[in-house]
Amino acid sequence: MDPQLKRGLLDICVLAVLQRADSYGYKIIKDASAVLEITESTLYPILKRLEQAKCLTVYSVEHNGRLRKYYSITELGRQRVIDFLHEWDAMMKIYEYIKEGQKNG
Amino acid sequence: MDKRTFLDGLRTALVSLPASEIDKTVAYYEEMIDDRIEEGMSEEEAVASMEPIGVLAQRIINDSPTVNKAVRKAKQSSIPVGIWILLAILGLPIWLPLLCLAFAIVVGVFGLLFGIIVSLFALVAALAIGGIMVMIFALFYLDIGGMSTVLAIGLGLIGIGLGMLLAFPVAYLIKAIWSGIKALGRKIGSLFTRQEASK
Repeated sequence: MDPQLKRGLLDICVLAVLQRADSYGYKIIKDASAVLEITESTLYPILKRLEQAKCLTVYSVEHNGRLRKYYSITELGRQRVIDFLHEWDAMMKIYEYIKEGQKNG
Repeated sequence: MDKRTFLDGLRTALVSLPASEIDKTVAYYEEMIDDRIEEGMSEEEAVASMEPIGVLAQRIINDSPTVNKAVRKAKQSSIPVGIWILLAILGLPIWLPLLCLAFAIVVGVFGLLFGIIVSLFALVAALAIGGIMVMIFALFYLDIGGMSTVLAIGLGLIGIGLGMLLAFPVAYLIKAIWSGIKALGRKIGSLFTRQEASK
């Protein structure tokens, strides 16, 4: 997949994972891996970026004697997913148009 | 490789980032490894499933906002160098006297502070040495004897006593002024060195 496109999709994918429930790093990777290839080092900057954009918040929970960071989606994050879906509707129209041209050509 | 070695290696590879950023990144990877171990992997396997430290570090550094900011800043100042030089030459009659003035003020303030330190020290030293000298003269040279000698020794003791009494607050004051001088020096120094972009 085109890296630029993938980068944008990864952000939304992470938000979509968090929309189901608050989650922590490793679990986000496992959940998102079902649809997109994602590694620790790709997730890290995404989480940082989304936190800076106030799309998610972070809190720590004690787990087995250590702290585990949990990420929680914010209203702004939810809005971003909605915006993405709207944009995708427009994208689909373009897709159909391109495909149509392919058939006739 | 065990977890400690991996994380220490990562820390070393990230040395160009701010310390808080390094701590956060290392904590993130530590959590990732711990979660894998908890899921049943051995420590070795968990570490092996991470990407190589070199690859990780490069990606993190490239993505860090400090680098982005620096790059953005560099891109922003797109005024040709020639114009800067022209402005510097045309502005010479204005900025040179201002610069001299600023320099003179800085030198003056530092001189004043050093002067205060020296005079405070001199005050204590003068009291103590004066007191001692008065006592010595009273005992060995002034052939007056009796009450006058006692008076002179008394005055000498007062001098020494005052000197000792003042030594502590003066030492404290000197220390305070000295740290003030150092802080001022650092502040002035930081005007001329490029500020590390913070978060």
